[in-house]
Amino acid sequence: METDLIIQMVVSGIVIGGFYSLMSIGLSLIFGVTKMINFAHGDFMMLGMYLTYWIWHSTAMDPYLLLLVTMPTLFLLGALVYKVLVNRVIGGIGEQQIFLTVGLSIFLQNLALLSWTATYRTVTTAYSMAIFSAGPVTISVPRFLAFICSIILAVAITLFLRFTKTGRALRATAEDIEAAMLMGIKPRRMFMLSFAIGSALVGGAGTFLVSFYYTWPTIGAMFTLLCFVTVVLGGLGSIVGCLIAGPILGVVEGLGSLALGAEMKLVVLYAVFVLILVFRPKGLMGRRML
Amino acid sequence: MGSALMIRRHFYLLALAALLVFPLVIQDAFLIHIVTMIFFHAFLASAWNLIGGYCGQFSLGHAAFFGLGAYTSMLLLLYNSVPLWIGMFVGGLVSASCAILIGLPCFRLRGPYFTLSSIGIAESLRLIFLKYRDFTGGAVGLEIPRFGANPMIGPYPLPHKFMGDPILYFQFDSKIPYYYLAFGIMLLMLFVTSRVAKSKLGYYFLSIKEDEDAAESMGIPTTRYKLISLLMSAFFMAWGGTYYAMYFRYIDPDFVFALPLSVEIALVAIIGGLGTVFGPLLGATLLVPASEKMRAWLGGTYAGAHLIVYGLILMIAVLIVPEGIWPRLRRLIRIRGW
Repeated sequence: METDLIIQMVVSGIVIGGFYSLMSIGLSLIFGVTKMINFAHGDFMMLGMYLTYWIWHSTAMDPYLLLLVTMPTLFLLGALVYKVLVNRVIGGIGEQQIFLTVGLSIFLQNLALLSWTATYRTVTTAYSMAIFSAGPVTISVPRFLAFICSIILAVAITLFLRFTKTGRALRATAEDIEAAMLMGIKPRRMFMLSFAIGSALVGGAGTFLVSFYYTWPTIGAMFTLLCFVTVVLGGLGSIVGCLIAGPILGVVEGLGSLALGAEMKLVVLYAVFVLILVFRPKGLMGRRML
Repeated sequence: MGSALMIRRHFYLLALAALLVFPLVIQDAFLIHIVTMIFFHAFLASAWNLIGGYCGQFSLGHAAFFGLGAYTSMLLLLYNSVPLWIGMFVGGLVSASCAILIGLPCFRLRGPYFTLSSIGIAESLRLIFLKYRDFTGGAVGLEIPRFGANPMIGPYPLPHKFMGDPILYFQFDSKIPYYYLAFGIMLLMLFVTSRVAKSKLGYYFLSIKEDEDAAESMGIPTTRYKLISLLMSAFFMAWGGTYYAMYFRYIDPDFVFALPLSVEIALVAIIGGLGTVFGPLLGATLLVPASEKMRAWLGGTYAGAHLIVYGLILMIAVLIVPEGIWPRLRRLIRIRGW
């Protein structure tokens, strides 16, 4: 009985962890290219969730179809935020970058609170409550779908970074900005692109999340913290690192909440974060992007 | 000597005198409350400034130290009837020990680790204090009962009919004693900051902020000095928590450990001027009345509206006056020759 429960926790941890990977890839990409932390990352996801919710609410379209809306919208929003705000502090002092995105985060959260109230909202579909079992383990269908789609998106972004010219330019900027400039790459364009792609990915993650979880205006803060831990465990700026770290954290979180209670999830994550800093501060994969 | 020159010469002394007699002359309780809150926020932001402004390590989790101070002194009072005067020092020690726990793993590393970690510790403490409610009171919070009243909420074994010496337990009906206490701790904090700024310690902090590699190559043990800076900051931040508990007589984890408090403390210092002695006071003077007004206007109808404005102010300030208003003002005064 006890072992069954543990196996169940491990499996659902891996499933949710695939989703954590997708959520954090954007943050890692942005950090890798621009060397700054986007503290509003989770709030972009919150926007993706609300966008999905409201379109679903008025048209009853399948949320997965709405990826075609949320991802481009968040892509443009990310580019806009870069152009209007972030571009001005690139190369500036560290505190400017931190506090600018913190300010943005507070602004977005409370704008959402003001416009959409604190009500918990979720998208319900025909398969929202569906589960399937494999041996002793039951898996929720929407979560499993999110896992599969997260993996597909993560593989797609990896292939993009690996094989396309733009992807290579992004990686070059991340690795050595001066050498990249000498090769004729415009770094600020790459910064903007990384912000746009990172926001689009986390927006897509929001679409998945709202189909099996609730959204509320300050949900982003919690998930930003989770993204940080994933990214630091994987290695700041590493995409592959995120892919490995997500499922690990999913499992740790699952077992931790089994032992201490679900409300202590974040405490467990924070403990993991400190342990990483003490024992392996460069993360699992170091700083290499792929 | 013209009177204008007189005022200029003794500006600080005159300001001090004016603030000392202010609550005796002005009888308006709301005005006294506002000025008290200005002192209080200036105190908090100055304590934050020690690590954030002088040492360049940005914490967004100072609520952790604030909350530990508030809870330590409050629990000591409620369980053991220890006066808050003693509790504030115990709280300071508890929060300084917590600072060591955060500082040791983070300060060996460069990069955004400390900022991330500080948010993490504050959130974790919030969840822990919410969970173990048999001891901490949980989401209901803790309340200092008024003299002569029975404790209304909380699990603590205070004697029935809580009584004591008003000065020992610092409980008054008038706001004036709280005003002087806030004024006092703020002056102390300004004094500490200005002494640190002029000492060797302050120059070490500054060198870490400006260029950590250079500081290290000059033989400054950067990890140790970052830790010293954080310890001082955390110690005084705990006093802030105790003061908050004394003044409002009520604390709960969702306020004292929450991110908005951490951001607000940092915001005051940033607006005023990072790494300046008077910056936090200026920042508090500008922000506190504005936020109290906004809360009064918007708070009732639109929850969170004043925080939108905070977010906007933070973004605009970072873009337009990244060094803060105080250094700008100083320069202006010097150029104009006032």
